[in-house]
Amino acid sequence: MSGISAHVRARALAIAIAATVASPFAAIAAEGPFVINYSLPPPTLDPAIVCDIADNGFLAPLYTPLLRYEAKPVANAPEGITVTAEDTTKIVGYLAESFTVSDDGKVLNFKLRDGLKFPSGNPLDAAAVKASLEYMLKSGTCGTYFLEAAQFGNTEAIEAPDATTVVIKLKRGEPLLPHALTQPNTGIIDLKTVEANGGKTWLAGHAAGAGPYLLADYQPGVRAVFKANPDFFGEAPREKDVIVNFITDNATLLLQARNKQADVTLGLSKASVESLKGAEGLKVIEVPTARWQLIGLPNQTAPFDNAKFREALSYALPYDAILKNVAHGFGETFYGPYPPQFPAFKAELGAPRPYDLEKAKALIAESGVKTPVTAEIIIREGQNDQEQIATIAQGAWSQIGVNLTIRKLPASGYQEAVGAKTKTSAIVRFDGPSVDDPAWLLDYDLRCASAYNTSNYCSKDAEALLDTRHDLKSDAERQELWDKIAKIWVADSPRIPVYADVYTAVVSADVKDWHFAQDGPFDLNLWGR
Amino acid sequence: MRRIGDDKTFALAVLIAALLIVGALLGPLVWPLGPLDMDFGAPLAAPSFAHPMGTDSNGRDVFARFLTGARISLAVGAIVVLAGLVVGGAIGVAAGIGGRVVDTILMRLIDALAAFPPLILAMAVTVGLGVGLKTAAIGIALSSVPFFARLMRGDILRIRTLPFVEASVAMGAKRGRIIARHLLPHTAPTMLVQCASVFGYAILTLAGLGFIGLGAQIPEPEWGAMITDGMQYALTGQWWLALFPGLGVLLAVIAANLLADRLEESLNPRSARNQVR
Repeated sequence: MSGISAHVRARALAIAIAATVASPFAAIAAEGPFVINYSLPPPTLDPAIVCDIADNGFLAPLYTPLLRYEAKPVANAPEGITVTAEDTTKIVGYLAESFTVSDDGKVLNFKLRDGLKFPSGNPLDAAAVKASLEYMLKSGTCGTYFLEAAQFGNTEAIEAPDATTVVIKLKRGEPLLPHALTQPNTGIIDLKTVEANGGKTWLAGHAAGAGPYLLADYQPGVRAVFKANPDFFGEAPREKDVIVNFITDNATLLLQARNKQADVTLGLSKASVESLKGAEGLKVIEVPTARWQLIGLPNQTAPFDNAKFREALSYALPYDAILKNVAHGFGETFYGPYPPQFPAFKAELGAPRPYDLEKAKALIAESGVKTPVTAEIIIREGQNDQEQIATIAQGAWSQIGVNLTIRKLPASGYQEAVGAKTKTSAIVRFDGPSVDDPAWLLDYDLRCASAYNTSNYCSKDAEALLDTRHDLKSDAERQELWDKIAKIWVADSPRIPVYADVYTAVVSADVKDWHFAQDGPFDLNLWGR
Repeated sequence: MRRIGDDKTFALAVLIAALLIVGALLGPLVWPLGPLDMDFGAPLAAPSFAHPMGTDSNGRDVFARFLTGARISLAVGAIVVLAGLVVGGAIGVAAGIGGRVVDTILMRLIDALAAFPPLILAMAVTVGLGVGLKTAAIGIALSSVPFFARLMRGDILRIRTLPFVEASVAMGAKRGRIIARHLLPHTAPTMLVQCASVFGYAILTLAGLGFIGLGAQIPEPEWGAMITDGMQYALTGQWWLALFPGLGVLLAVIAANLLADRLEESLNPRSARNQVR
């Protein structure tokens, strides 16, 4: 045996353990870089390609759209921090100093700020804006969807009559377009810089915008470093240096949050967030959102093509137990096409369905579907809440003779299943529209031919009603339309909204401002210590 | 020569193995709660009299899942050992007595199989055939074939040169009789040790595959998958979710390895414990 005594070895071990435990606590000083730990690395930084709400938000610090939403305070924010969220009823200029919409909605006129430049030095004038918007419009990807607010072929022309004026002319007035032009992925791209770097593939890992931050370093899936843009036209960001660590493992994310190794931690499981409530030096921010967990049912595949069968499934799910055990209270139950955070939501039309096994069994009998039924439910790998929802559905639905097999798919396979033209499986999915307007949601989620209709739900009556939306002039008329569609939707039970999500972020006590955006949230210039 | 019954380590291994086997066979029949029964009123409950190993996030009794998990692990272990022994053993015997050409062909095939790290091979087979418990068992069994084949071949080559085997050949005994009466019985001690060792390997590999999502699928209560589920709660205070299935794997593997070790010690005439003092 060596000459080192057991006593000395024990002390050395104790010192090593103490050093290991103590070092993380010293990692963050209030004056150092602003550190964000985030569970969802974006697959691309190309504004024309990003589609998902979380990926879209990641572009917010880097690109500036023509318009933006005003911010409004969020109720019940923790003490010592100002929490704001988008006020989707108030659209104001961002890159544009001001804008007007003609009475018929067909002409949108934007007056740009004077003397704008991209970080490259290239002028950010009307010609650059026109080129960028046309690039997005012709991309044939999500960029086109946003630039036309799902009304494909509706753009007549984009003009730049002088250096600071951009005019968008439409064939038919589209009230959603100003909303779409607040989204980060419609931010203006410095196309000359893109061309100089070899073309659009370069955009997947680099940024060419005029946002409040510049992308100083980017290692996909590992980390991103943002530096404040010294030439940003708006208020200078409070944090000069921001480091974003992509950490997909929840245990690591939780450990680092607990050890205060991050100023902001996003993407923790709800169980982990709950465990951090009341932790010293940390605050938990909660923002009710227009995003929800749902179970998509393959409406065109037997026996899911039977409305009574679908309705039976909706009554055989223990929503309150899921809210308690999966969402840990960070959610709200409802039943209908619109979640409670939608301005168009009406409690009497969107009341949650109760868990009623007897009614479910009666509906199964009424449907004429012979049980047992064998079906598949798809979840995304690494999404523990989805796994738990599927497991509960599996247990609950087995009691009415529906035997589910849970299939866990990697991100790419899952996206493929979600985007498949004909769905054959139930899918647990976290969804939410970029714009919290029924028209935006229903245009992709209700139309029979939409590639983004995740349940293949097809109601000719509802779609015919949706087609009339452009003819309606008043908010009351539009609300009446949304109510009619909601009634058809509820009667058809095309899918099962499990709960509307309350977004949670864990921030250190040093953080004084934090802002939530439906796309993201990642508005770094509105966060700070 | 001391009797193996006097060996305390061996007795401990037998005791652990017996407890696990009895628990796996009788536990699910005796314990009133099922592994899939959900009690939404008692999620993440700490260990108590009603739930000796607590409950998981869906209110399922961890003890009931542990017992069923033991049944799965032991069954897969047994299947892997049996399949590996039959297939690998047959290849080893054929290589040992089949002459140079047969030996070369079979052993190069085994070399090719053994070139893959066993866990990677099991993963590849599982992914290729479709993720699930059955395919995981096939993958693990395939990865265990070289262990048996090489050992069996070596033993056969050694035993076939012993005088009593050569005498049988000289007396005109048929090949089948020589294999059945003289060769195989003499490989039994070595194979017994190998079986115990592979049994532990199978349980550990199954847990490994389950841990990375390639083994048992939801809601099957396989130990590795239970550890993965429990991991996310390890830092939120629900330590019992990962600890008990982890202990299950640990105990099963320790028991199997101790059995292999002590059997090898007892059955090997050249081992220190069997030398005349």
